[in-house]
Amino acid sequence: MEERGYGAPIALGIVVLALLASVTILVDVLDRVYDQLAVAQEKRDERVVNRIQTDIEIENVVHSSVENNLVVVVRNTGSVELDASKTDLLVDGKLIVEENLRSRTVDGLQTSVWLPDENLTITTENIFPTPPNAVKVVTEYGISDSTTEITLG
Amino acid sequence: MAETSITNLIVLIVSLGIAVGIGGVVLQSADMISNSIRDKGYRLSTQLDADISIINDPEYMIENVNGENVVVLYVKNIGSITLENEKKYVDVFLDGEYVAEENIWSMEVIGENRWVPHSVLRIVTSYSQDYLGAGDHKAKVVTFNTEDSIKFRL
Repeated sequence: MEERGYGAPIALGIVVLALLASVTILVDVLDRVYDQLAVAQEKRDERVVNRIQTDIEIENVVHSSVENNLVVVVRNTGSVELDASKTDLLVDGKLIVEENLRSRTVDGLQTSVWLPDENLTITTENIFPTPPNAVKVVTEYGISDSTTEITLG
Repeated sequence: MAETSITNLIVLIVSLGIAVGIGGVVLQSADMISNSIRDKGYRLSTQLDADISIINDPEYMIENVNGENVVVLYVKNIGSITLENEKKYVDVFLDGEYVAEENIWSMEVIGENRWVPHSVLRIVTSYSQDYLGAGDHKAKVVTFNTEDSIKFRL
């Protein structure tokens, strides 16, 4: 009778230990997932805020018939810092690849930091023998401005 | 007396066996549930991190590719994770119609090997200007449960 008395508590102990280990596993994974989602949500919120605060305006676009290139001047009219190197240029609907861009300067400086109220000047290589019809500039957050006013220089 | 002891021993072994079995099933279930929660969490965080924007100039959606005037889409990764740039992970719709893989001529990231944040994916479809015809149209790109669309006129 005594052995039977020991058997039940030991069996119950094993089951309780397994349950405790299971709860620990589940709590641990829930904690990790919660942290992962909190970080992702924080990054998303930051992106949304940055997007709302981003705005740009094309100041002018000059086509040089001598150099066969385009010089696009864009102003950061928003309230967040932008990355000039992550800004894209589309001319007549075609994205201009990096190899066809001669330079990107911010207020005359070779930097990627494009602060509010500063002008980004994008100069292309000599790939435009004739003036294009439309120019569009897109920021890292997808906010853009476009123009069809091309000044002949 | 000896018979009673043997019987008790058998009962003890059986009850321990059952307890270990139940414990094993409970632990296995917890492991399976935790794996599912981890996978779901990964998918949800990926969805939160993924974001795209079609950056085309809507006035110029058609490009001459290999002599054909076809719809070309430029899709910028404006999220915070690298996205897959294979046809099986990126779905394209034109005027609500799913563009099958064979109707996508190419899908390549400009200047990069992978579709990293802030890079642009160029999707060349086989949908020509003539096929779509004059009028208003809509293109939509879906990937990792994030999507963007653009309306344009031909």
